[in-house]
Amino acid sequence: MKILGVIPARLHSQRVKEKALVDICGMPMVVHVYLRTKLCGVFDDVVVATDSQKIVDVVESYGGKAILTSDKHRNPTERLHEVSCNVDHDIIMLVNGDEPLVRPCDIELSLDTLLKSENADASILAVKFNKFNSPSDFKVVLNNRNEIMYISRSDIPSPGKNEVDYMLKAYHVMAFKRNTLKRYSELPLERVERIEEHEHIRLLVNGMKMQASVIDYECFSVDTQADLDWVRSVIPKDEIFQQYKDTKTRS
Amino acid sequence: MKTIGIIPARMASSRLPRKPMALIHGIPMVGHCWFRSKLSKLDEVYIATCDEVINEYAQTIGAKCIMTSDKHERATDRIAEAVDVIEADLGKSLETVVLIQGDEPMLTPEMIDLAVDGLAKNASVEVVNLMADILTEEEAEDPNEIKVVVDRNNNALYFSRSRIPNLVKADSKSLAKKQICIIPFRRDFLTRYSDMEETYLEQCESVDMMRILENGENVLMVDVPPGTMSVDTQQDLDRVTELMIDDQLMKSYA
Repeated sequence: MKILGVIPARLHSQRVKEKALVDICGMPMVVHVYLRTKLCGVFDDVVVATDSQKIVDVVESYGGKAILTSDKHRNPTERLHEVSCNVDHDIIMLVNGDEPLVRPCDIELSLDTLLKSENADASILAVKFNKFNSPSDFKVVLNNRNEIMYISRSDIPSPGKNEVDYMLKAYHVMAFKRNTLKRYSELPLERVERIEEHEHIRLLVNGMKMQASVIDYECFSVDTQADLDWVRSVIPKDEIFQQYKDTKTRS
Repeated sequence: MKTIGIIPARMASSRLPRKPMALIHGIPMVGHCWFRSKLSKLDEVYIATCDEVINEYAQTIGAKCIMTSDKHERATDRIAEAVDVIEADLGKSLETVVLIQGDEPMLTPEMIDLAVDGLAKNASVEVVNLMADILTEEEAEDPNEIKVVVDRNNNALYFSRSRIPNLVKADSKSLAKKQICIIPFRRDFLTRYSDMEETYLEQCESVDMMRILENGENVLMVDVPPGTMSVDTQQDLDRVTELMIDDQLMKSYA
């Protein structure tokens, strides 16, 4: 079984300019994610998939692999599908390029979640979460087999009638079977998917299974300058960073 | 006799005290539900209650009434108990049992027939619910209205008192679908339901059907035209009374 790790990264970003390339303690953000993903022992290959030659050049300068993909993709899953068409790997993993604190153990757990499930088409992680009325965060609900029932920006389960101790927030470290990406790309955009702006609702509406594991970890993506400042302040003491901080550019 | 309806009713309602006996145009709400259900193709319609006052009222309109425990948290558990009593009385097994929620005084006989048809036509389906378009913002935001999102085959993905799908980023005017509690079960599945442990999301959302979804089984949703309204508050009661001023079905109550 061959396993590929893919880090989708676009050059243009809304709130932080050229987010993928911003410097964090001497290294571009996307390179942090790449090197952390490489620390996992599970991958046959890891690549950054991007619409920008500039990002390809930067990743390669650190000895990494990067490939140019279309600039027409509406979401990371479409970018993943394009990558999957040109390789022969059985499992394709998604690690988002704006999560410079991603832990190798969580990537491995998500992969394991897919491999150990009998009939899952994809896997995802979920973290306990108690910030109500926060539509920018995606909440998930799980059945007794830890399969995703639904994904929403609304508070689910609802605190409208009974008190809810905690919700679960989606943490998009995901593993897909090769065929799942193919099926995803062939299915039409769903109305509910469009309303919630979450591409994986398409899998659920079409009866595909997403297996989840719940972890106790504050996952973190960089969306604003304040997020970036915070990451810059914690990375120097980060244990995982110590394992790759001496990686140098070739130039 | 193979297909029956059961209307679970209890006086201890959290938001509207004595709800089943609340009058709408002079008739208690549970009476409206019973008379209207009797106009459907169901072989018989029962009321299941733990309250003597409802039992007494049922006798006055000729409704068969089953007394059940006052310990049930879920309407589905109440009708599961009632079915055992009914089958013992009849001396034979039923095929289909329709839970008809006692707070749907605007229900139509066609709605019940559509729900039962949905079960009859799909051999692999164990339980059916109705759903209808939500027509107002107020209803979409109301936690007393249970919203539902379905998959491509109209199986429920999730039920919530929160607004699903969330519309924060939507550009469309599309609202949501609401659950209508007219629920045909295959007889054996009803027993399986009450044998299952209560589940986490079922408790949080206070939605009976969640126990089925959390156990990985399907609930088929059948679409019906919008316009009916369930009663949870005094305000709902006033609104339904107004909506039923010209109601034609009331003339057919026997």
